[in-house]
Order: sequence, then C-alpha cells, then structure tokens
Amino acid sequence: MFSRRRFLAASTGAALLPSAARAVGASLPIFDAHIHFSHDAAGLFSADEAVAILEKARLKRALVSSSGDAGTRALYAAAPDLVLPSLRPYRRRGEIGSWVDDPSVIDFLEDRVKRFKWVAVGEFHLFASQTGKAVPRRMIELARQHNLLLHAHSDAGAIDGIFAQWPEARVLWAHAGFVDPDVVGPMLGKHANLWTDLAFRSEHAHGGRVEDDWRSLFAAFPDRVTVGTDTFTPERWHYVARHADWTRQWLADLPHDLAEKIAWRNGEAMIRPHLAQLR
Amino acid sequence: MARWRLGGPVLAAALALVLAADPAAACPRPQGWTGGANIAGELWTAWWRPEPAPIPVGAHFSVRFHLCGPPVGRVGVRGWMPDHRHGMNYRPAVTLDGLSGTAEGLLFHMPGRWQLILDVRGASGREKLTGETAPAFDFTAREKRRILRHGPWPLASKPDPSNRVSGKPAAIGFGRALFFDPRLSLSGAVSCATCHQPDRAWTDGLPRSRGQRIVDRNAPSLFNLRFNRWFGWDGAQDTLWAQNLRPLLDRREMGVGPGGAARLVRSDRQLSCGYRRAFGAAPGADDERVFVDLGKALAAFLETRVTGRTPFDDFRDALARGDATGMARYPAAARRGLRLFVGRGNCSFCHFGPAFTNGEFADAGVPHFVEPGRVDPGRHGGIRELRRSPYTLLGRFNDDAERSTAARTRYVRLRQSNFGEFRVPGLRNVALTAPYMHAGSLETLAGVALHYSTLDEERLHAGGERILRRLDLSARERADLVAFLETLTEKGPLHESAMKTGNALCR
Repeated sequence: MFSRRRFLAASTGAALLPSAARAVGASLPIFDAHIHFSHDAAGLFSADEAVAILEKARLKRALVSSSGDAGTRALYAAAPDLVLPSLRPYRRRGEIGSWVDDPSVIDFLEDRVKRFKWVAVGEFHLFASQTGKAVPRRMIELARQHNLLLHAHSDAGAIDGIFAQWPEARVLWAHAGFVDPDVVGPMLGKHANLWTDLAFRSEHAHGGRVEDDWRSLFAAFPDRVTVGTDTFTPERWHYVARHADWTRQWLADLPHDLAEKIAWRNGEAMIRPHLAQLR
Repeated sequence: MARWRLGGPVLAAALALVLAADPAAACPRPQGWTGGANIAGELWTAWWRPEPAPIPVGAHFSVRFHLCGPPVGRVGVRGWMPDHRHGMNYRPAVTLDGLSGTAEGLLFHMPGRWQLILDVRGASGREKLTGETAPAFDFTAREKRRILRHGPWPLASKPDPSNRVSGKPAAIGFGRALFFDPRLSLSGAVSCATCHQPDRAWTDGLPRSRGQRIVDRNAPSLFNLRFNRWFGWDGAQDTLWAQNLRPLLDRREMGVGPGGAARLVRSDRQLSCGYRRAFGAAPGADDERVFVDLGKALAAFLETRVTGRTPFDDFRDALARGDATGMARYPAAARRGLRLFVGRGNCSFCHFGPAFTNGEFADAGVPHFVEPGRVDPGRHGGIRELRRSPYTLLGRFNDDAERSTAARTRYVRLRQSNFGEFRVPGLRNVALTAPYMHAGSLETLAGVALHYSTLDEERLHAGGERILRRLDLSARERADLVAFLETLTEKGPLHESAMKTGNALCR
C-alpha cells in the first residue's frame, strides 16, 4: 500500500540527491503513451507526415489509438518500430459517450481483433457506474483473450471495476485519472499492474520544476508513470514536439534514473509482455 | 396598477405582440388606453391589456380586449405554454359587448413562456389570435443574480499605474495622433487605424486582418480595453501599452521597430512636440525608451474608448430597482435570449460581469489551423511570448515601482490545456464587430449562436469540468440569443469617426 510514511521517505530521498546526480533531460527519448490519429486528423495529413512529426519530436515509441481505426493501421504500417497499435472502441470520436450502450461496438472489436494485430485496447472512456454493462465487460474479456493492455480514461471506481472483472489485467490509467497524487498513489499501491500516463496534465510541473507531491509519487512508484501528449484534435499533432520538449524540461529536475524511466523505460516495460501479439 | 414585488412569488409579465406590418394603423389603440398590446390576424386585429399589469404569476388576472374587424359572435380566451405543451388550470369567463370584452379568472400558475390566445368566432369565420406574453419579470432569483452581475455600466476606472501618462490629456492627444499615423509602418502606408477603423467600431470587418501582409488573427474592437487583464487573442501582453508595441514590432503588421519609431518622433516637429507635452521632456537618445513611451501614449488614447449605455443596461438597472415599466421596454425576444445566456447556455460563465468577459481564455471548439501544416497555439504561445518579452509588468518599463498590478504576470501558469485557447472577448457593441472568433471564422452573430448550438464536443477534452455543451438551440432560441446580444450594443451612431480629425499637436 501507498502509505504516508513511504510517501515522505521517497520525497526526502529525492530531495537529498546531489545536484550533480540530476540528469539533464534534453536528450531523453520519449515513450508517448497517448497519441490519437483519428479520422479528422487522418483526413488532414498523411501517415507519413504524422510519422515525421513523431520522429521530429524524437519519440522512441508511440501508443496510438484512433477513432476510426484506419489512422492507427496506417501509422503502424508506415512506422512499425515506432507505433504501437491500440484498438479503440470508437468508429467516430462522437462515440465516446455512447459506446458502452452500443452492442455493435462488440461486433466491431471482434472483427478488428481477428483481422489485425494489437498491443492494447483503448483509449476508452469508462466510469464506475458503467463497468457492469455488457459492452465494456465483453471488451475487457476480449482483451483478456488476446493478452492486450487496457488504456482506460476512467475514474478510480472504474479502475477498481476493471481489476474486479479481470484481476490479472494490465491497465494504463489515462491522465492519471485527473486526480491528485494522494488518490493516484493509493491506487498504484492497490493495483500492481496499473500504470499511469500524464497526458493533458500540467499540475505536476511548473517552470521546469516538479511539484513536491508529484515528486514524491514518482519516487514512490518509479516504474509506474509514463507521459503522453493526447492528440485529441488534429491541431494537437502540432503540439507533440512541444510537449516532448516540455516533458524533457521537467524530467531534468528528477534524478537521471527516474527521469529515464518516466521518459521511456516504464512504457517499454509496460508494453513488453504485449509485443508478442504483433508477431 | 399592482406593484410588482421583487422578492416574492409574484411574477409579472407585460403583453407583447406578434405584429404584422403596421397593424396599429388599421386598428388604433382603444380610446383611453395606455399600454396594451396589439395582435393582427387575417380577419380581426385585437388590442388587449392585462389587469393588473404586469401579469402576476400565481394570482388571478383579467384581460380586456378590443377587436377591429367584422362582427363577433363569441370570443374564448386562454393561456398556453408552448414549451411545456399545456395551458391554464382555470377556464376564464368572457363577457362581450360588441367588439370589446373582458376575460376574467385567468391565472398563470408557473413562470415561463406563456401565450395568450383569443379564439374569435363570427359570421365571417373563426380565427385564433396568439400573442406572446413577455416573461420580463419571471426570472428566477438565481437568474436575476446573474443578470445583475452584468452591471452597472459604465464601470468606474482609474489610471493605469504602470503607465505614467495614463489619463493625461496631452498623452491622449499624442496617442490619438500616433494611432492614425502611417509613418509608424515600414511601408509608410499602414497605421493602427488600417485594421482598427473608428467607423467600423475599431475593427476592419475582415476575418483575418491585413497590415503590410495578412496576419493570423482577426482585428478585435478596441472598446473597453482599459478593463482587460490580458491583451491580444493570446494574452501575450499584460498591459495595454505593451500590446500597442506588438504591431510596431511585427513586420506583418507595421513593423517599424524601436529604432524607426524613435527616429520618426525625434525628427518630426509635431510628434516631437507631442512627445514633449505628454512626457514632460524631449524624446531622449534611448530608442527603446522612446518606443515604449509611444505605446504608453497610444494606451492613454485607447483607454478613452469605452462603450456607452445600451438597452440591456437600461433593463438591468430597471430590474435592480424593481421598475416594471422600465423593464417592460426591453424586447421580449431579448429577454428570452438573456434567459438562455445566463441559464441553459451558460454563456455568462465566461462572458462574465459588466464587460461580459472573465478576462481569461477558453477553447470554444473553434479550429485553429492557420493554414495546412501551421497551427495558432493561442494562449499557450501567448504565455511563452509573455515570458520572453522585456515589455511586461515585471520588466524595467513598468512605471509602477510597487509592481502593484503585476500579480497576473508573476503567477500565470502555462498549462497543456492552453494550446488552442483564445481570449474570451467582451461583448459590448458586439453587433458592430463582425466577423467573430479569433480568426473571424464566423461571419454573423447568428453564426456564433449556431456554433454553440451545434458545438462539436469531441473537439473539447473530456477531462475535468465540461463548461461548454452542445446547446441544441431551436431556430427561435438562436434568434432570441442574437436579439439579446444586439441589446448589448449602443443605439444610434457611435461618432467614433470624429476621432480621426484631431487638432495639431503643437502650433
């Protein structure tokens, strides 16, 4: 469990590190765990152009999911070493709120799982009151059958619900649930197979400095935090490089080992058991 | 006449009309009537008047009416709530005397939009005359609180402490001369007034403005700038004087730069004299110092452009003092639009306060590609530019040694959500400042109402509190919203063109 004592100890440890031990993060590669190439973006620029943006941002890997699956497939075909394809249960972005009650989503997912290779399912939006519904339950079952990571934009209750249905699940908690470290920490303590991405979060760093409560969280769970851009509109593709640079800036405020883990090693470790699905 | 009790359960409404073309000419107001409303049909035209007026909610009232047209055999009177699809709980009794009559025993048992229907029958036929009652005074206590926050107007103001010539007449005159001087551009052909034309409410009417070249954004109006916290669509400037330097630095706009501007002021007799009168000394050798002073003189001038009172202000103040007669002058459609604005539309959440802006930034779901492959980062770029700029409240050009207004700059935080956010504009005189949004992508206010009515929520991030929602307004509701927005605009000509003809700075 994530206790206050452990939290404080981690915080103190980080603070005592000599400044020389702090790595400059400017050169760190980035595992971006939150990229979408949805139908509206894919209609504006080609997969090659999108890959060029990711490469220019010096991403090592990108976990990509898209509303309308064609974008993900096109990106994966263009850059199989860079792109990690994740199957999103949305045919259009407008299904974010309706998919849990739409049985045709299951047909879509089953068809796509049969026809293509994936490392994950998501990013999907699922909240505590919805975890008992048939469509998300079947989606989680499909993920179990095919050994896929689950990328969940969820509240803490839904994360608990996913693990209740499938205790061995491996879950990436999008946006760290948009909750504070005092909620994230206990969740990471409770679920050993839970990772977080910090996409669209800003609270953890300011002016290149990592805030104390987040620093403590990172130190307490050094293997469980990843970063991501979240390209939820086409325009945000032009934010990928800036986001990567901003991330490198605040990572430089952490000890090198920890910075490197958050930058890319944690993402690699999280995805490694699922890479076999791509073979 | 019954008094309207502000704090009680009484809701009053004045009858409004659905008018055909000048029906009053064919059917004059009955002798001895004051007030009342007129409704024209094919066969009959009716004047009608509630007693008491305004109509109380939850209390019985009567309606007197007078018809023009062929003889009448029978008239039925009833109330109807079209949005709820139900009528009254009471069936009024009608007494008829020729073409005049009275209906007794009506009661509106709930607030909201009520129609009054006269069902007229005679040998010539049957006709239902439907009049809108104007729910002028049926705002809930919560709506009323929100409405009252949009005033009083005008706001009190004081000089900007970061600008030592703020409010000084000599600086205002000097700033006005600078504003219209094209020599402050590299080409010598572009002045501030090229994009901010006084007879166009200080805009240019273009989606994206053209200085020396086309720029990325729409030229906003210059009214009420003195009340801003941030300046520019991206808030890259924290003072009005710094904002005035931006086009002088940007080669797409005017681009004269510090050296060119300072040389012009030093070499031109009128400008040099204007500078001396405004600042108490001749322009010095420090180009940048002179340059910043030009921004401050321009700011002194622009601070004077404050919008006047509007029909909304008259209504708002009447509401504040419980003046039913004053409130009744406000058009029914505008009242309905106002209710949407402070209620279901939640517009007043961001368009807050007397200036109708919270002074901050929002992602309103508007695409922000400038061209294929290039994006306007909005507030995200603005904060980064602010931090790089020497012309901020934290810099050496702030005339306020106490830095008393610098908290905004000191504490502003760069957030990932800033990417694609743009300044929430004030809405005073909004009917005069088309096109709308940061790049002028919406041509009309009707287009703006349609944008929020059909908002693509998927363009907005799903995390956190969802302030903006797709409103799904009906055509009539959108028209009502526009009718309200139009009442935020001053009536009659603004006379801003007079700003163009100033006196010589020095003789």
